[in-house]
Amino acid sequence: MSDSNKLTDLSYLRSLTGNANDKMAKYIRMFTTGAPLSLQQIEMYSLNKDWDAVKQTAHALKPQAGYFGAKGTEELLKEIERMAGDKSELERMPAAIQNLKAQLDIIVAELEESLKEFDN
Amino acid sequence: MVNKKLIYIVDDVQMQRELLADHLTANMPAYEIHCFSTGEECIAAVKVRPAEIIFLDYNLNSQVKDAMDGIEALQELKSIAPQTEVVMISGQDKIEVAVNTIKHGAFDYIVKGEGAFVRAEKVVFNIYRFHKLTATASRYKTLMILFGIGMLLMVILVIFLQNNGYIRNSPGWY
Repeated sequence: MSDSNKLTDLSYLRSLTGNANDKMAKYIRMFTTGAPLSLQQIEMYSLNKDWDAVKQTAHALKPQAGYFGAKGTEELLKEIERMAGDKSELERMPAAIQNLKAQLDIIVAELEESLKEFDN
Repeated sequence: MVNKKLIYIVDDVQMQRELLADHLTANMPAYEIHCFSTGEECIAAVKVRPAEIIFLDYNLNSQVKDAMDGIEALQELKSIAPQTEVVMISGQDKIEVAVNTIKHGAFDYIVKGEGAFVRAEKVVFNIYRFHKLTATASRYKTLMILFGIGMLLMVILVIFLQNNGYIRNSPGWY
């Protein structure tokens, strides 16, 4: 996949870490292990209609997506946070969560691929 | 060994607190940095060793539901260590949230995202400058009070000397 088609862009994280391979690998691992857990929590809270918890979890995940340049995912999380916070347009929530799941799958795959570069 | 000033970072998201800690460690070597995942842990640490600055997340209960939230932790921290400056960090860019934290005693408010880490560094510098200016103003205040007391004593002495005939109420004082 060419860089322009990727959901992630590591340039911000590179500048933040001074392009240190060990730090890049550390933060990528944090995201690839933490984000799927956050997604599971969002799905579970949504099924239980615990909208405050959905809002909190989306809110916590939102800036992390941003650090990896996943602007679309950051916007989607912002939208999920807004819907859960206002308890409005909740009929759109399942589709939004499905969309988030699809995007996170791609992001995690891209980040795991880039780990090869930083683990060397 | 030089005693470094302390910065505490409190955030329930590991990546958030470690990114900020790494950034400040790399750019502000004069500070010793410690991270906590809850407000309760930070409060316990402040009771033992108060920090100069605390970066405190506004939403501290996204992982542990019954954990203290940011505003509760801020109030408790300011009551046990009023000299410690607390900087709130949040993903919310709502002005009312920022105003609320300042009302509760926060020194500043930073919105998470790109630019937040550079801004945190600037806030540390602003706090350093603020403390330096406050110390200078305090020294000037003490000097002014001492000067005032000196002037008052001088006037009392002149009145005493005049009343007892040691000096005349006319130019020359002979």
